Amino acid sequence: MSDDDIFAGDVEGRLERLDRRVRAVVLDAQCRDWIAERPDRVGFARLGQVHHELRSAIRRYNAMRKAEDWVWPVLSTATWLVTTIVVLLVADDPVDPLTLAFALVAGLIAAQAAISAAGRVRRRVRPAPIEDPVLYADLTQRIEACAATARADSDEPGRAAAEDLGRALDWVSATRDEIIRGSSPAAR
Amino acid sequence: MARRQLYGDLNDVRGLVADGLVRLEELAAGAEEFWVVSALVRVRGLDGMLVAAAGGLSAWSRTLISSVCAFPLLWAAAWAAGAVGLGAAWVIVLTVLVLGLTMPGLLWLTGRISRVADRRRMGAAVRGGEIVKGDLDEVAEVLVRARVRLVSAALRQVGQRRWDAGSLTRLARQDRVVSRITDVDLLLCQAIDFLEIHTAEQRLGRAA
Repeated sequence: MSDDDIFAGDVEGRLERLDRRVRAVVLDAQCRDWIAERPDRVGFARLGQVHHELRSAIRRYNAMRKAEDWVWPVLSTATWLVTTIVVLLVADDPVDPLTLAFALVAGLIAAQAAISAAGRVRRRVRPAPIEDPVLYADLTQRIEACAATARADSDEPGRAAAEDLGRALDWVSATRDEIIRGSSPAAR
Repeated sequence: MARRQLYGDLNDVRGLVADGLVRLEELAAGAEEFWVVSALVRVRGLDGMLVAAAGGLSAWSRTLISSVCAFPLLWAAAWAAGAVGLGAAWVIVLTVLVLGLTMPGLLWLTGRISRVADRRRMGAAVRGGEIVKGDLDEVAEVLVRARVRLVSAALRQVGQRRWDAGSLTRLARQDRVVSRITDVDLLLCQAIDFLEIHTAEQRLGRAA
């Protein structure tokens, strides 16, 4: 793991990383429930609640949702730019309205082609399984660290985010209870 | 047609969810129990999400529609800039600027078309016809049935070859239909879990 220090970086970035991890675990558990590899519809639902609270904490800092990956926007913009420039350089009269419109639209289509090509070759990272007890210890520790930083903020969004994080912690422990002890009412 | 099948399955799920929702609204009317209200909030949004699970427009159709709309606009902008007598560099800069300004409009337009397409495919809101009369347990049962149908619809949609966790997670990230179904499924499971927690708490309260 690159982030060994749980207090490193700003709260928003730390929460984004945590949220990405939680979402991967939720999706993995959900898919394994679908194919009955590990049938349990309660665990991932509760961990999904953690994702929900983390998102609302992140929104208090920054209402705009950040792009998942900087690769995609950069890739598509670069392809668009390169295609447009190449078409304009090759053309005899780049200022001709028809050529100009064609170059820009060709850039759009090339950017889309680049995105769909890039979508095919994506690295696959298997997240931690939902039944891993270490995951909960780690999540609790990291969310608590974020909440501590947020509570120390003198401004309003920080304190509101700390409340969201408190609820996220409750859901982390509810998930852990469900996974470890099978405490869900459904299991009884 | 695989697509037809998907819309039919999703409409069945919509019917069950609508049945559960009607009864849940009745039971929750005036109630202030936290878990019941939380479940209600989740179930209320499901119908729209199930309609969206029909898939909308693919990224390629969005791009092609945007291109078709943008082309005459850019042409007109470039022509107008040239007619006014701007220099070559300014004509290019202005046309690129026009494209940048129309981009949000194009995004809105394609999103709009996508939603209309989903509604056309799925038809009007459906009721299962079966009237749920029971208590919250029965509502939870209806939702569980809806969930089972939804998951089998998703599995049928992805095809037997890809019934493993790796392929499914990849599809859930890339495929519009599967990713929306996972969202709906998550909310359904949360609603069911909330109702079960509520029932368990009530039972504990009665026992104490």
